[in-house]
Amino acid sequence: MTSALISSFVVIAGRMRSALLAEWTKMRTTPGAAWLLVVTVAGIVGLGAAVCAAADHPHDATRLALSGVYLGQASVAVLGVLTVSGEYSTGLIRVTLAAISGRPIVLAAKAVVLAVVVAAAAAPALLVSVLAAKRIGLALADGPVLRAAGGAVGYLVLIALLSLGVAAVVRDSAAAIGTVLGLLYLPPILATMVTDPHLNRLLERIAPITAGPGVLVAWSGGALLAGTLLLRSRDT
Amino acid sequence: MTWLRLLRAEWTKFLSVRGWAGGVAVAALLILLFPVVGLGGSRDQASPVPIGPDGEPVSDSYYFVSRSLSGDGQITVAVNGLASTLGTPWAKAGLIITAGSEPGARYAAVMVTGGHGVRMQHDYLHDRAGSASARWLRLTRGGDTITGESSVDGRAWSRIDTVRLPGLATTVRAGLFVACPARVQGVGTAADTATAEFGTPRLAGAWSPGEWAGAQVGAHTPGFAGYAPGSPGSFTASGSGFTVAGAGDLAPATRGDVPVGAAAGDLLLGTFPALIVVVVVATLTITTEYRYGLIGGTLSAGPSRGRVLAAKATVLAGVTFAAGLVATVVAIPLWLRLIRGLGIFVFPAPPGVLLRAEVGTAAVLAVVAVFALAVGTVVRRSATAVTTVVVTTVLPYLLALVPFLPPPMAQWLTRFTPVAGLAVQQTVIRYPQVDTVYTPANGYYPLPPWAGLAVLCGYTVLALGLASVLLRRRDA
Repeated sequence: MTSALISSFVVIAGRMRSALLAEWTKMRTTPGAAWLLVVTVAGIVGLGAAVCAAADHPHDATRLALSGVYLGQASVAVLGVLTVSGEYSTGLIRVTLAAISGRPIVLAAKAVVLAVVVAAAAAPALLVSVLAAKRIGLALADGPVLRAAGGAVGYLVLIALLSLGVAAVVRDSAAAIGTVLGLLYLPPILATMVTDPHLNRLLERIAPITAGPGVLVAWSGGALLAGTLLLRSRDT
Repeated sequence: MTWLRLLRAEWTKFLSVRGWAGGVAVAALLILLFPVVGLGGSRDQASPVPIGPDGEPVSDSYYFVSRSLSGDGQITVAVNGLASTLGTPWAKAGLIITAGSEPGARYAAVMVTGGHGVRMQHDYLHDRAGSASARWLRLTRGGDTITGESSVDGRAWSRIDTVRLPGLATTVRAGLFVACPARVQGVGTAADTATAEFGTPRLAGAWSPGEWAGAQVGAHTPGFAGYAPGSPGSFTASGSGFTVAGAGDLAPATRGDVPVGAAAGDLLLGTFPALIVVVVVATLTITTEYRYGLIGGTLSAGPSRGRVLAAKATVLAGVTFAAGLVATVVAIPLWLRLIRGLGIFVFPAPPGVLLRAEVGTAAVLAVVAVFALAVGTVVRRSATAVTTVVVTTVLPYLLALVPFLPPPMAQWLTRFTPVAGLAVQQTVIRYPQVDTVYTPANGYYPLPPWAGLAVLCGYTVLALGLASVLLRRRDA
């Protein structure tokens, strides 16, 4: 019994390893992915620096310094969406699914590679943003500042995973990115119209951009789960 | 192919994909139904918003030191000092004649201000500048006309304005007043109190005998921002005159003064979800052709590649404009009636302004659709194109709303990015004689409506130019 479990675990681990290698190779060799990461870093640092330069006496210097996330999340979402829907638009998905047995493994490998790549790009970008905000009185050594920057990296990773899950559900890149960007950008705008305080608080709690880490994990996890289930049940 | 056949080909393509026509219909529905989210919650206010003689909402609150004037008369006073706790530029101290005590009554006043020199104002909307350095003020009533004068030394007088207050009763209250609107600080305001030193007023004409009576007017109207902490309204007489402290304002009310009030432009908030749907559809009309290789057939069938793009743009713009116009023309009157019926105060806007907001919003949808088509042609990838357009047409508005961003940045974003086009949705009026939080969140845009739309069109023309050049140069 135990040996059977162990051997099936070894098999899955082996498959996962090759799937990870395949996905890493795709991510490395697709020119779009590298560009998107460059755009993400530029967006985070650029907007953060612009906002800090325009601010005089900020109430919340940390939020100002990290405001580049508003822009950076868009290109992160594109990367997440293209990781899946890019394969659908070229038909590569059939090869991928035929080559690696176990469709959840394919999606899991994509998710792992995406998360690592996004974290690797976002962390230095946010560090630079915080360093650049020295002028408005932000110190990197502050525990809360560092925690906020770490939280922002986690946020971007979860947004990338959310986009990946949505793309696996929708399959079309335009519809997927429209859904993700709507989810990210619309709630704060629409909240200005909502006068009911309960509804407003609810909106703030469930909208990814203002939600706590738990709700955000639920969003990304839910999207990935739905994507996995659909990928298993659909033909391609 | 002739232009008409080209148009028909693109029209047929557009109709034949169910998701596209459906998407535009969904966008229209979003505009139509979206205001429903604003219905919840309580918008009750303690007292009704005062309405001025011209039908506009007004702030009508000030500290009034008054006596009765039964007939013609004149009052002259020296304002020896005016200071407010926070230094509000529109702090006011001077002379006033009011038609009645009910909020929104007609008045004429001449005043010294904190930072805008001597002014003569009447009936809330009207403001005329006088001398910058005068310290003596005089108000003269003859029937229903009031003349305001000012002087540097109390001897040589210069007239600022003569105004008529139709229907002014014979007996009116008149005297000294001090007002001080809230000080604008970033995207918020702080209550302020102004204190003025008056000399002893010199009276001439039909003034009733009696004492001067001091009281805060309009303390319970919605527009009254309150006093600065620790400095309430007061009135003390001394040997050489009066010291009067007061707060409030005599001016047209803005969104900042009536936060529970709605503006017709608010009802178009569904534009944002609609924009995202339209952007997705518009991008797909070109990127789908690239994805399936249909673009080769389209380009070889059409004589000129530029005309193919023009035909696509025409169909897209036509469809989105028509759908958007139907949605806005129905939505605004319908929801206005509905929310007025619920007792929510709505800032009045003339029919022409509402029509401009309706047609303008449909135009914004159509122009953004063409912008998305152009960007889609340039980058040829759906996800990149949709993101580029959403990031340039929706994100700047979101950033302008974010309260922690510096206000100059919000102004910049709504002036120079494609979001400037949303200025067509402004239905509230910006008054030069009122300092308030004039931000997009409150419904005020930095550019005039058509100038804002022109900015959006400028970006679209640039993108369209680039797209047609690339379409001609590239293989496909």
